[in-house]
Amino acid sequence: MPLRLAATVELVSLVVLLANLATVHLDGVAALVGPVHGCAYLVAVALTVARAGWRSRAAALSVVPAVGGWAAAVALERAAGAAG
Amino acid sequence: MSAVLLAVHVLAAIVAIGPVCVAASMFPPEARRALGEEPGAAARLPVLARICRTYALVGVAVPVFGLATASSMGVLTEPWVLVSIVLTVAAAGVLAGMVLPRQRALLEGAGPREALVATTGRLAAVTGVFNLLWAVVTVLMIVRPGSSTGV
Repeated sequence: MPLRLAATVELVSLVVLLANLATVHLDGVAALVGPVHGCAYLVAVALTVARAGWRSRAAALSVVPAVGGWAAAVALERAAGAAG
Repeated sequence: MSAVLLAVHVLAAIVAIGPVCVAASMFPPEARRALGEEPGAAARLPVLARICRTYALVGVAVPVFGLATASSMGVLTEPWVLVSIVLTVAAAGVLAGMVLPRQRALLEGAGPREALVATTGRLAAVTGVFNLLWAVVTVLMIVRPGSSTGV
């Protein structure tokens, strides 16, 4: 669940950043949402590594920008489903 | 905007790093008590470890918003900021690479008792290093040596 949350924030914040860049381009939005996106990205990577280890496929997926958190969450859930 | 970023940075530092410092410092003596078969201590250990793990994750916000604040204030290349970045990376490495894995090893409690007791000593040492690194970074944030805006 925390990984899903971080992955969603990672993706949504990036969409907000790109939408801002393409339309109104407010500096304030970029300055605030940028760090939020950075945090979500790092938290998603940390959660994945904590659960599956550095050398796992999920960890490799988690470092992919934007959708990495989601890809890792799906990979971990599939692995858990296959094991259980 | 700098004020908002700085507020988030300081708030995250207080809320996230404080609990990690306290819980991580309490862990080694509690682990020794648990190894001494003191009832209750073994039950408290997972809570302390959980506080450390959870707030270490929340603590990610501290350097990220710190970088954003420094960039927004135009001080990113000042020596006190660069030294703080290096010390923060070191503190994160000590926490993720030494403190949390040793806490987990003690929680699992596998191996001979003497080895576990020795691990509590090493854990206490690296936890002290972690706390010291954060104390130095905090002082750097206040004194800001080489900056024209220092106290």
